[in-house]
Amino acid sequence: MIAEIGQATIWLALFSCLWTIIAIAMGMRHRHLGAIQSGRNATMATFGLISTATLALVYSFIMDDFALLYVYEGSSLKQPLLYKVTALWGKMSGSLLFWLWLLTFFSVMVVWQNQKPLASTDNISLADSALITLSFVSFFFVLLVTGLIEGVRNPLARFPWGVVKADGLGMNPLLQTPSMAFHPPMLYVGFVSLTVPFAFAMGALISGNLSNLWLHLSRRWTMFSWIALTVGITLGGNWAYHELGWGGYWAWDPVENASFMPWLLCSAYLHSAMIQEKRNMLKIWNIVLVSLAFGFTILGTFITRSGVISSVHAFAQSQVGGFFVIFLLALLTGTVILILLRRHQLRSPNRLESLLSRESAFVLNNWILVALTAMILFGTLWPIISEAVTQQKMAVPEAYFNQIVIIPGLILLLLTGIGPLISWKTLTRSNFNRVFAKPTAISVIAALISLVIFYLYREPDTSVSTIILSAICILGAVFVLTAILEEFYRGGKLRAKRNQIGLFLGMIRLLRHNKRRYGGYLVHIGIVILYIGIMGSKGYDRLTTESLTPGQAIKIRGYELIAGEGFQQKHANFDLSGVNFTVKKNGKVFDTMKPARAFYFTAGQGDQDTIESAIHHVGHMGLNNLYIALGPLPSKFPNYTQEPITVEVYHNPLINLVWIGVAVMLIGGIIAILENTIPTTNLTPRGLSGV
Amino acid sequence: MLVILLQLSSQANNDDLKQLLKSVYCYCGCSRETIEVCVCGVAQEIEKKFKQELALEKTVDQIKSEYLAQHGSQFDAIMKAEGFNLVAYITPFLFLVISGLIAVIIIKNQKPKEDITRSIVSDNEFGDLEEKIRQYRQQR
Repeated sequence: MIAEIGQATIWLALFSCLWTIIAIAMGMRHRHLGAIQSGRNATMATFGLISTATLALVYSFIMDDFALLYVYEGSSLKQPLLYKVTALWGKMSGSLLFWLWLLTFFSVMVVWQNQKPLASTDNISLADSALITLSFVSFFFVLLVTGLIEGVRNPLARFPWGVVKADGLGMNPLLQTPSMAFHPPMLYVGFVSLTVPFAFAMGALISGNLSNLWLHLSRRWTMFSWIALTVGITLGGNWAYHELGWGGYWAWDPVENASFMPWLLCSAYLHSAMIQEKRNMLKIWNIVLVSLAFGFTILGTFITRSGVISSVHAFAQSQVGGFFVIFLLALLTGTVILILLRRHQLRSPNRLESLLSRESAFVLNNWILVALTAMILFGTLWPIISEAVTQQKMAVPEAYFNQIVIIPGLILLLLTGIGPLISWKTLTRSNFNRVFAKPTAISVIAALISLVIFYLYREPDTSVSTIILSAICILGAVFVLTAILEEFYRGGKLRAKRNQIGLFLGMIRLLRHNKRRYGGYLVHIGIVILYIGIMGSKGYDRLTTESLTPGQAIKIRGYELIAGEGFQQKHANFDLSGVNFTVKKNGKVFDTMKPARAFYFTAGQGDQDTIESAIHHVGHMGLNNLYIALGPLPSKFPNYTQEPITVEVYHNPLINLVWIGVAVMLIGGIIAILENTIPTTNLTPRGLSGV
Repeated sequence: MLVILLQLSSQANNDDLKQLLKSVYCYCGCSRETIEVCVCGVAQEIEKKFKQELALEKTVDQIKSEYLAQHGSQFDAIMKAEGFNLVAYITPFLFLVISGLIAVIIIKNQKPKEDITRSIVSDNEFGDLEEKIRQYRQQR
């Protein structure tokens, strides 16, 4: 019964979405307040209906209702409660329902945050026009989960002929980790919330309110998407690092790329939006950029779901690709037509005054970020292009992407330091001397010193190019850090002097009174830390593989890991089997590590096992990692005296800086989002207000 | 002498094996992990087979070609910059250069030949306009 209620609400949501579009469009055209209010109410109703369907599915999972196909495929009796709930997004149709639920939730947030009561036509807002786009996108996703489209089943559909299974197939064991409970939803939150800035841009085009209001209204949403995507991508990397057993966190897998590309475009938009706010320039470009960022979230979903490109994320594939392509084309066409129709109003009255200005630096930043997106997209699609031409399937290796992103990546690092410090309009000699001279001198000296150190302490297999690139990375990192820290120091000192307080308090006040600017600087510091982490962990990682029996040791960079007793543990839905390793450095024991493999035994998983790698933080401040992954276990395990176990040990220098860097970026992002930039005065013509 | 020769041969075999393990992906399902990195049972079997084939004095290229012929070219982990693959290596940098040129052209074309904004509305006129808007709002 619950499932039937859920199915019915999905169908009803189809009509409520349509009603929102029609009512608001007609209401705006004829300035009919009742129609617009009705459209707003329909948005709320859609959220209520989709929430009911989503709750019905979660309830079915918790109650082990194996009469439902989706529950049977994604859960089992022994599955822990957490994974019964997270099974909601474990496969295709449920994840689309969850996506839709988020979208309708964000639509309601738009209604709540941006609407005044409809007392007069003055209060018909930009947000109302944004609701048209939000409902159009919702309509597409509702259509997907109704089961009408080939390749996607209704998640609440029952087995035919009243069949009820005794147990389910269970969730893919790789997904049964705590980080998987957060990684996909965070990515979905990031993807889906990007619909809102896009909807505001479209709302501005539809309503003709082309002031900067849409930009102000969508800034926090864009920041929110950026933060969610950053968290989601990092959690994914962390999951891969712990669960996949290859000692890395990023492999340029197509689905990783699909989440990274919207992040790049979102970052580009956050920068170019500032030029429009400050100088009233790049109006068309900002609309194009925000549309691209949204378009790439749909493209990412298409890549994940259609199976056109081979990926480690092939958990939820079907024949739904064609429908996504049609939707993408419809969006593209609509956006282009609207921009062409409004092109005269989108002309900027201002011009760039100098190549050496903050505006130009931001344009260059946009160039790199958009070019990087294009390069990564090209690499991701290369298997399709290559197969079409050569009739041979192929995969694009990680090394290819590493090669193509290095140069733009380093340029971007330098721009991270230059952009925020250079003055608006034009760079004067005094501005240069004040903010650039010192960081430039310090970074050049640091790069030269690091070049010598990297060369003198190099290992036999370290290439000269790695050393040179590392020195360039240090150059950029030191430049950005000194430039930003000097800016913090100068501003803090001024505040301290003005308010007769200490320097530290002055710096805190500086941050508190200009959250957006200094939060942004913190993000840049985080990026620098991240770059150094990537440099260490990708440029200087080391792998050693050995087959070991008890008592034998494996050595890596001065560490000795001695294989000990095998162990076995029983858990609710899996058995854990592993080996105790004693870790020695300079002959002294300092820890034990317990790499293992987990064997899941639910009905659908057979003897599928996952790698439970052991990670130990070593080196100065524990920034490096020792990482052990076990190969297949012998038949008589825990006895492996006769049959040795293959053991892979990685030494990953500075890898913890990757996570620390992201944490600093997030703190900066959260500080920046706190500043409200929505103007309090009514900027809008024709009675269309924003707030 | 024989011992040295045997050691050299074993060293060469080890290097060949390492090269092979790095050059192909495992077909177990973890599609983007080379045999060197993949810790599944399939990868272990493939490694054993490669060792046997090297002992039979097959070359690295021979073994790799046979592996790819059997499992498909999508398991090749090395994308050499040759033939049609050159397009894959050149195009991204073309993107970078061309889009960079476009960015520079945009910036250059954006440079005003004269101060247009100031010639259209003077500061006094702008002040008057702001005052009129303020009065209009008060009236409403």
